Amino acid sequence: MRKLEIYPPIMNACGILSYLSVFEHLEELGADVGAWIPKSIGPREKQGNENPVIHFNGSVLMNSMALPSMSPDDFEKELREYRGETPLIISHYGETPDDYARSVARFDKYCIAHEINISCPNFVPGEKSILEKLEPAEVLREVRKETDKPVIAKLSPSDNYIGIAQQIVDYVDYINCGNTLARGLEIEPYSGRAYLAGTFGGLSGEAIRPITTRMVYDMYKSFGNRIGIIATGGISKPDHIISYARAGASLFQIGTALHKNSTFTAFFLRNIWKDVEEILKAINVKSIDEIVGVNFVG
Amino acid sequence: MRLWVLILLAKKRFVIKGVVEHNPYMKTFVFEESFKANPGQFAMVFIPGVGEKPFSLSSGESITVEKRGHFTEKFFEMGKGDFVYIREPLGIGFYRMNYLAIAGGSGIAPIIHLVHDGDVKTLLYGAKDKEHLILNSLEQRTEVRYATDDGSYGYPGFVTDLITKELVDEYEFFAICGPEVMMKHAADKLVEFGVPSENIELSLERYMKCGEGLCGICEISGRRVCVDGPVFTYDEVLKMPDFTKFKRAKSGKKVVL
Repeated sequence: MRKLEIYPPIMNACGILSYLSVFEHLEELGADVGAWIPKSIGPREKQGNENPVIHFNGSVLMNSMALPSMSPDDFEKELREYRGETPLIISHYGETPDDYARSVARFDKYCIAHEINISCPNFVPGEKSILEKLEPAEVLREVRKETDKPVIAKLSPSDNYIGIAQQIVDYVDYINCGNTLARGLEIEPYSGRAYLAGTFGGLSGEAIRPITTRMVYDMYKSFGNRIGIIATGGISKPDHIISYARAGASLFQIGTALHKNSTFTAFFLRNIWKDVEEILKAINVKSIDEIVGVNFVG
Repeated sequence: MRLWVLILLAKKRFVIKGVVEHNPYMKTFVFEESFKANPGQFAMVFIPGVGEKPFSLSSGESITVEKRGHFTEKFFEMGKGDFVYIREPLGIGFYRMNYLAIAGGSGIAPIIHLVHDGDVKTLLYGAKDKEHLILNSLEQRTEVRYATDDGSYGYPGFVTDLITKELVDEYEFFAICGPEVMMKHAADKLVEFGVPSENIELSLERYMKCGEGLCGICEISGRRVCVDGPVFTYDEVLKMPDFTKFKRAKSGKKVVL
């Protein structure tokens, strides 16, 4: 396993904040993360779903962005102009294993690791989901040939994640638990139309944290000795990071909680890890690695 | 331990109480219930089956809409008793008072809200022609000086021509909303007349998706217009090289404005 050495071990979740200029601005304001992840890059320019792309029902957030993406050429232009100091992890999606492999090869020099999105539950109505089109093992095998940097596979708690992980465990260094939970539907009662233009949407935020925590725990029990685990889903307080670490995660991504203005977002990303370290000190733990997957007794 | 408070907004159903038709291109929809938003803040308006778009609010219970495309055409077909869903208040609005306000075209919408709240002493308001102006309502609450590009009403020429040193000297704070090039001209002129750039507030517009700071598509030089704006002070805008130059399209690609 190739270890992803970043400090602090927190990142934005892919699809949140999305653009290099946003990352640069947050850095100027003092945000402190181990890496930034730009919006997933696909093989060609794509618009994604029409608005509304998000729906918050008071308890859970749904989104149906469906992977809007600029073209790889435009993306590379922005990468060349990136002035931030924080390293990048690049997220890829594609329609064929070759799409992924080419994208990984092309952008290898701009990043410290690759995240392979094989689980986005959202797609434009009429299309197929990524997993309906692709064999995960084939994708990751092709990707592995193109890079010596850490490879992260992002799975969703609503996939058969243990089954998929078994097929890909030899080709990846990390598994990200996980993508949004697939897929919810809410109907506007008076018109009979869905609240989302894409009809169905992936669930995220605080409400799904118990489910991703379970996914982290399952993954750690099955593969914890071979790969690292990234926890993504509903982290909005330092406590959530400690809990995820106890379940087995060593890296953490923050998504829905970053929906505030830049000053607040930067404050949040500057302080959340400091607060984690304070808590660790208070419970006599020197480093988070000491509690990863070992302190949970059920 | 710090306090971590993070709440997203749920949308709420609003029923239309009445519609005011200002001209062939602009209507104000008045709702039965009032909004929480302050002038300059905005709302995401969802029409089931049609879509969702950001709009400035024109008062505590109304939205003024210019017909631009498919969504606003559908909006224009709605009347008393019809409903939309609204997420508000979003973003940061105007936060001073006793303004000299400068509006161009549909940029009048958030300025109307300021006028309603009694925060505008003088309004300079320009549009293409008389048919694109909102007439006979703002005058009741503030002094309005009009300009039209074709000279069909008020001063013949650009609204920025109405900015004089004499007028500017009477004011401390300035609110501007309109096409970006017009806003730049107006703000530059104010700075030329000695106004500190932090006393000038501009309301910016970018294509939006989530409207709540998540997706990043509305960024302008790294600032997310939906949460860092839409109202920015001019000293902040001067740090944005993308102002008047670039925006992001639906795919996230940067395109020329």
